[in-house]
Amino acid sequence: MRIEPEDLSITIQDIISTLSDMSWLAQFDENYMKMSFGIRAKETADYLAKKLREEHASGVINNTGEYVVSELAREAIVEQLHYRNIPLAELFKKQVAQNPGFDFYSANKQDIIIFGEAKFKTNKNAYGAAMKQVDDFIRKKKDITDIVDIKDFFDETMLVNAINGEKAYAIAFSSTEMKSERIIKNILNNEHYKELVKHKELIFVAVNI
Amino acid sequence: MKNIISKIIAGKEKEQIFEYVLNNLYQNGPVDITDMEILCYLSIYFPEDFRLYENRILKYMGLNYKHTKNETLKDIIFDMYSRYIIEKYNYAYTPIQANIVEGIDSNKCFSFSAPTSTGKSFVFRNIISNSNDDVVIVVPSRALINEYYHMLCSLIEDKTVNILTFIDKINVKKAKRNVFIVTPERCKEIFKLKSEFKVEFFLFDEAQLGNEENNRGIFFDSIIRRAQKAFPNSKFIFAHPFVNNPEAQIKKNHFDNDTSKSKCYLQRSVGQMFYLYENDSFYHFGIDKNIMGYNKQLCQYDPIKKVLDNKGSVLIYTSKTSIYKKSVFIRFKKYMDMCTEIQDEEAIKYIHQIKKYIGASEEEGTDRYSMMLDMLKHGIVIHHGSLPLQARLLVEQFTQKGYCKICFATSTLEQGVNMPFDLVYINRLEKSRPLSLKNLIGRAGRSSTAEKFDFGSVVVKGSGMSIIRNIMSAKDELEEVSWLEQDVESDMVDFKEAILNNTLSDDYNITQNQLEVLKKIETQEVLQRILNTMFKEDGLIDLKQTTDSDERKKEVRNDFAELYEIYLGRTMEDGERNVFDTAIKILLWKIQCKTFKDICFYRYAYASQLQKREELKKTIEEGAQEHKIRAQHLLDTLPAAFTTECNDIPNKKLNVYSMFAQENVKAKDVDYDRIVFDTYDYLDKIIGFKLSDVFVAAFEEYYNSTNDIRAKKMSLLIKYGTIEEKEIWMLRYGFAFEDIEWLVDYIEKINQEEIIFKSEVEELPIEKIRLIERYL
Repeated sequence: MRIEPEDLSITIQDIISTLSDMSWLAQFDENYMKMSFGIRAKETADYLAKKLREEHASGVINNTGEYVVSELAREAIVEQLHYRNIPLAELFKKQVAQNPGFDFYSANKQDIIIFGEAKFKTNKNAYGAAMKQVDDFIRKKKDITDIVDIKDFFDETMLVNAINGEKAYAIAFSSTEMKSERIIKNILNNEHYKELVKHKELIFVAVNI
Repeated sequence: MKNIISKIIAGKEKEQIFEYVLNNLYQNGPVDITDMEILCYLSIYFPEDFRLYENRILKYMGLNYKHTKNETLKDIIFDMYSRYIIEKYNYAYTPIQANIVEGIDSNKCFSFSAPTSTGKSFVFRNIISNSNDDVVIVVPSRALINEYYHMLCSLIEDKTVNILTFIDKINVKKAKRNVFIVTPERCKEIFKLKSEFKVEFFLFDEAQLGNEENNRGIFFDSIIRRAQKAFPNSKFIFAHPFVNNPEAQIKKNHFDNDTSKSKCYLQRSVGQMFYLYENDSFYHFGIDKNIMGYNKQLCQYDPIKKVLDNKGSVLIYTSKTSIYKKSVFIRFKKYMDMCTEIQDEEAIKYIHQIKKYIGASEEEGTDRYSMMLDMLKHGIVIHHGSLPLQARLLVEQFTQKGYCKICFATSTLEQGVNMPFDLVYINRLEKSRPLSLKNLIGRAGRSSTAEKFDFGSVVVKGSGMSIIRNIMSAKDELEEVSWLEQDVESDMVDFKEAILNNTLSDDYNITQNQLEVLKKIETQEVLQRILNTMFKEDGLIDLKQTTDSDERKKEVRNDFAELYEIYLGRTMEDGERNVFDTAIKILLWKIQCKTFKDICFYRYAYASQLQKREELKKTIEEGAQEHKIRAQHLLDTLPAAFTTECNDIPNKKLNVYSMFAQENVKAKDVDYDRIVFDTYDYLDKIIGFKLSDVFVAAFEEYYNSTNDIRAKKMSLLIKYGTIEEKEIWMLRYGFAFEDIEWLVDYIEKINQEEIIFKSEVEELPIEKIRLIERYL
C-alpha cells in the first residue's frame, strides 16, 4: 500500500491528544485540557509536521515520525483491507523506547494476527530498516512474547494460530517520492525478504512524508 | 509486579521493572511512594540504564525547574504543559506549584496539603513579594519565624517593604507595606491595629497546629476566626504536610464553601528508600510488601558511609537525653570519625559567631569547654529545642550552606525547618506521632535543580520496619471540629471560655479572671514590696552592689513567688518552687542587662564550683606538699553544686533534684553545653512562655492604678529587658538584644517614623551592615 497523507499535522494532533489523555496531567488540570490544550496541540503538531521533512532530525522528531508512520499504516490496514482495528501498541503496551517491540497489530480475515513494525527516517525510504527489525524480532521471538500484552484484543483461534507459528507481518516505513515500482523492486531484492515472505501474509505500507 | 527489591538486586526483569515504573509515572504522576522507591533502587543498581531514562523520569514527574530535554513525543506532552505554565505564571512552576497558585488566585480561602519538598516555599515567596498590600504569615515556632525572615529579607530587596517578626507599625516614612511573620500568639496584636493595615493574605503554614489539643491549638483557631471577622477582604491560605483532609480547615473554621477550596497533593519531587539496621548489618525493605517483597534483603554496602563518602549529609534523629548523656555519640563514633576538620573560612566564621554568643571554649579540658562547638568544627551539628535561638539560626545556616555532615537532632527539626539531608537515621521511633514521623522522613532527600533524580534514604533499626510500613501507608486526618467547639481538659476550660466569650486580654494574653486576681489588694502589696526592694527612688538598684545583697535577692525571689502563687491560687510544691526560684534568678540577671553568655557563665561558675576549684588549684600550685595531695584529691572528687534543671511549671508532682546528681557529676566535669541549653530553656519556656505575661500584666495594672513609674519600668524591663526608649525602638525594629550594644551608638534617631543612622555606619564590617541594610 502507498499512503499520501493529506495533512500530517492532523495525524500528529490526534496522537498528541491521545497521549495526553493517557498522562496524569489530563486529570490533574482539566481546565488546561479544556481551555488551552487544543490550540497548543495544533501549534506543536504543525511544528513537528514541518520538522519531519527536515534534514537532521532529532530524537523527538524520529519518535514522532514513527508514531505517524505506525498510525497511518494501522489506519490504512483497517480502512482499506478491513482488518481488525486495534489501537497503537504504545497506547496499551507498557513499553519504553529503549526496549522496543512491535508498534501495531491487526488480524486478517483468516484469523491470522498481523504484527506491525514502523520505521521513520527523514527523507529516506525506511523499508530496509523496518524489514531488518522485523526479521530480528522474529528471531528473538518478540511476537510470541508480545502475546501476553495483546491477548485481550484477539479471539482464541487467532492466538492459537500465532502460537502455532501461523503469523503475518506488516512493514510500515516512511517513503520519499521514489516510484512505487522501484520501491517494490528494492524490497524484493532485500536480504530479509526471503525469510519474511515465508509467513502467512506480508503487508508493506509506504507512507509518504 | 512482586519482590521487586530482590529482583533488582539479582538483576532480574530489569526491562519490565523500568517499563512498569515509567508507565505508572506517566499515567499517575509521582504519587506513589512505591514507584519512587523503585526509582531509587533502579538508580543505585542500574546506574547506566537509569541515565538513559532519567530525562523522561524527570519530565513525567513534572519537575519543570530541572530544564529537561525533549526526547520523545510523550516528553512533548509535558513540555507543552510546562510552557503553558511559564506563559501563564511567569515562573517555571511544577504542575503542583501552578495548581497551588491557581487555588489561591481563584478562592478566598485555599487549604492544601503537600509532601515535603513540593516547593511550596517558592510559591509563597512569589505571592508575598508580588503582593501590593500587607501579608501576615503565621507559623508555629520562632525557629520558623527566623527561617522565613531570612528567606524573605534576601528575596525582597525593596526597602519600602517592612519585614517584621512582630506586629508593629514602624518605619512609616519609608515603608509602604508590611510582611509580618509571627506565631499565633504574636499575631493577636494585629487586631489592636486593624485599621492601620490592609492585609491581602493571611498565610498559615504548618497549619496542623490547630489540631493540637492544648491552649495553642485553641488559640490558633481563635486567631483564624478573628482574622476572618477583622479582615473580611483578606485571602486565607492554609498549608499542611501529609494530611489527608485539608478541607478540615474550611469546615472547622466555618469558611464559606462557595469561595473556598481544598486540595491534597500527593505528588513528590524526591524519592525515598528504606533501610533496616539489625545485628550490625543493613537491609533493604520496601513500604508495600506486596510489590517490593515481604522480607528484608541484605544490603551489601553501608548506606551511611556511602553518603558520607559522597560528601552527603546525615541526620540522626534521637532523643535529647541521648545527646545530653552523649550515648548517641558513642554509638555513631565510627561515622563521626569520618568527619575531618572543616577548613572553609565561612564555616569557621559561623562557628566563631556561635562561640561568641554562648561564651564557650572549644578546647577540651578548659573551663566552659563546649563539645557542641568542638563537634561543629568537624561539621557535626546538634539541633534541639534547647539550643538558643541565635545559635540555632546559625547552625541552620551552617547546615543549609552544606557544611553539616552529620546532624544529631530531636523533634524540633520535624516541623518545617528547611534542612534536608541525604539520609535520615531514626534512632528513636515514636509510633504515637505518625504525622511528625512522616515530616521527619520527608527530610530525607534534597531537591536540587540538577538534571538528576533526587532521592534520600531512611534508616530504622530493630522493629522499625513494620512501624514505618504502617505509618507510611496510614492516612493522617485533621480534626474537622475545632477544639473551640469540643470538650477540652479541665485546665483548658477557662482559656477556651475566655476565647469564646472574647474575654481573653489581648494586652496580656491572660484571661479576665486571671487579670482580676492580679488586681487584688494582696497582689498590689506584693508588687509594692518588689518595687521597694529593687528600686531606689526611680532607679533600679544593682543588687550586687548593696551590702545586704543576698538578703535582698532572697526577699525579691520570695515576693515573686508569692505573686505567682496568688496568680495560681495555691502554694507551689518544693520541686516547682526550685524551678521558679532559678527562673527568677535568671530573670533578675536579664533585667540587670546581663547578656546570655554572662548568665550562662554565672550558672556555670556556680554549678562547677569555680571559685572553690580555683582555690584548690592555687594550693596545688603553691601549697606545701601534704596540702597539694589533699587539694588534688578534693579537686578530683568535688561534686557539682546542686543545680535545678528547667522543667515545665506549674507542676505539683515535680521532684526536687539536681541535674548533675543522678550521674554523680564532679564539679570539674560540669558540661557547659548543658548549662547553655538549660539557661535557654529557662529564658524561653519558663520566663518567655509562662512568667512574662503574668508579671507584665501585674506591673502594668499596678501602674495603671497607682501611676507608680517604677511599675511601668519594671514591666518594660520584663518585656524588653531594657527601659531605654531608644533600645526598645531598636527591638521593635527587629534587632536582637545582642546587637543593640554595638549598634546603639550608630543611631542618630529612631522612632515610629524611621531610623536615621550616623554617617560612621558606613565604616562597619559587611556582616554588621547586612543586619541594618534594610533600613539604610
